[in-house]
Amino acid sequence: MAYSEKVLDHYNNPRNVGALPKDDPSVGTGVVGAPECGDVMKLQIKVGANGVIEDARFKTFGCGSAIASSSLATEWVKGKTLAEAALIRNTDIVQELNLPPIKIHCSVLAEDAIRAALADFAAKQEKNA
Amino acid sequence: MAEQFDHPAADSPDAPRAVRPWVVNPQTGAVDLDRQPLPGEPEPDHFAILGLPQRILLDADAIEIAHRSLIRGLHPDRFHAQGPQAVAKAQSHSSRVNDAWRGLKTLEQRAAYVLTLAGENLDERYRPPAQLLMQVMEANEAIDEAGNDPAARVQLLELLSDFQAQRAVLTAALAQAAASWDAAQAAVDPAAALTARADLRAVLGQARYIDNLIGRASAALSAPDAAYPAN
Repeated sequence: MAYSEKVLDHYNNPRNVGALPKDDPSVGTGVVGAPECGDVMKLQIKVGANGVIEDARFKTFGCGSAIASSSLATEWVKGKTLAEAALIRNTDIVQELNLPPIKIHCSVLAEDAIRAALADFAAKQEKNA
Repeated sequence: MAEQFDHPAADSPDAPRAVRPWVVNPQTGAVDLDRQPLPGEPEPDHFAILGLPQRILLDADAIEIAHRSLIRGLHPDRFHAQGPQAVAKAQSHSSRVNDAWRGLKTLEQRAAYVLTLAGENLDERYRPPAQLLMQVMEANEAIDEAGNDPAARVQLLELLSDFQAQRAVLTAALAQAAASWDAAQAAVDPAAALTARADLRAVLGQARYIDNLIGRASAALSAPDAAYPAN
């Protein structure tokens, strides 16, 4: 199966690979998995005092499409407010990366990862409030 | 003609009542290349096509024998006299038989297949425990970073044996869930079948992650740079 050019670009030059300090109260961490293929994805966001996502990192163990989807997700959440980031849909990722039907679950994983990171951040805020 | 399709499991007293392969017309007992579902009869699944009871714990030999005898019975040579159309139909039945056989070979395939038959999608319906995901994530990172460092490789070996132990636990759990599902089917107990399905889903879902880890850890140990091929 041929990957689209955009997938290959993200795969070969993944953006924002790495980790942010998990215990930092301004960092939200989402770890999600796809039982169908056993892929795992970690996405982290660093939220500024103004509620804007300043930085994002990911680490994905999976196929090229999963890596590209999460790489794109980190690019997209940066600079967005939490509410804006929550609006990112897997269908947007499918469209941007031109994912074939068999790889749609990779984009679902990326959307889940964003939500999980947002939820983790919100839980931390509540705990520290 | 129908005799040769009789299922070997029928001889075993514990075995659920054997069914005839789908291509054998239940009313005439003969191979019927134009077989259509009878009124009220569902489209055949893999089990029905092979004439196997819908069970996860099936004897491997029984599956092989059912497959072989059907392939023999549907051999195109048997249908030459009836003309090219009959030969083509026999071939198409053969290919369904082969698909069914390939799809039911292993216990894990059969477990996944009964979930599919129940309309479940592994990916959508199962959320693995957060703890497992964290563990898988960290194990992956450890594999990634191990490289050629001897101490890291020792750790990797330990990780690998840990995964293999986890896999053995899952394999046992799967056999248990399969037995529960089979029993629920035999007793026509929908509530018990539902519980067993949830167990099957959980075990199969977790096994996939552990299998991936075992594959990656093994690859990293044999060739550090090949653990994550550019697929």
